[in-house]
Amino acid sequence: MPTVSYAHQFDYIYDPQRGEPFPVLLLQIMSPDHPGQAIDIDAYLDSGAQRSLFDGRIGTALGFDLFGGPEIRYVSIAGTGLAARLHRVRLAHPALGSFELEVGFSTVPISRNLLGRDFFNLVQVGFRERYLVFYVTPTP
Amino acid sequence: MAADLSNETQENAKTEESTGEEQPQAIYRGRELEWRRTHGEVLRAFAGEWVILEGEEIIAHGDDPIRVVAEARAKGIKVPYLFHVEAIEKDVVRIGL
Repeated sequence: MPTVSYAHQFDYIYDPQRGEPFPVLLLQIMSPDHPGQAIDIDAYLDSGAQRSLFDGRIGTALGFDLFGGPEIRYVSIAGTGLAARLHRVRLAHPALGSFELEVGFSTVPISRNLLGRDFFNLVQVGFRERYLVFYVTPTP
Repeated sequence: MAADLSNETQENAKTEESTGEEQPQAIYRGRELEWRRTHGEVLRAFAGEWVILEGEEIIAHGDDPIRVVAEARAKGIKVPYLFHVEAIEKDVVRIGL
């Protein structure tokens, strides 16, 4: 059985509204073409999501032409879904470095940004739900 | 990587040294995260809104994150920290999508 050594430990971010901590990575997102318009955001670690998804309005605030990207649909387990547009972003974190990734930006408002398996392909993530921490190390 | 981030210290991360001992480090956006943790009552007034928090100050808020970010930038915030305050709904379990 392989053993993974992690470089960084993160506490879940506590949401006092709900009284619950959530596995959220606070990171910086930017358009590679407009790095001066970066935004720090919360992104939920969602290993059930095939691809990362961000609110499209954040994409607009980053300088993207939202509808200029290729269309893609995100579908939930109930079959309902939403349309999104793909754009290449740079995600950066002081402990993890920066990554370029093609992610979806929703064409309708959403309340959570999701980091999916495309992100997990770039970093190794381990959850320790009982202790409300997760571990991350850049994937070699 | 944008300039503001390159000067920041680590996130709410503890780096595992080769000795195996955890070395706590400063938290990226630590002031904001601590403020969020301790000001639930204040945030409740912003349920359903997007908020820009800088240190312990709410710089901008509203339904439209584009406008909220623009307002923060107009106030001189180069890299705004934007988050959504979810409304509390009884008997609701959230999944990703």
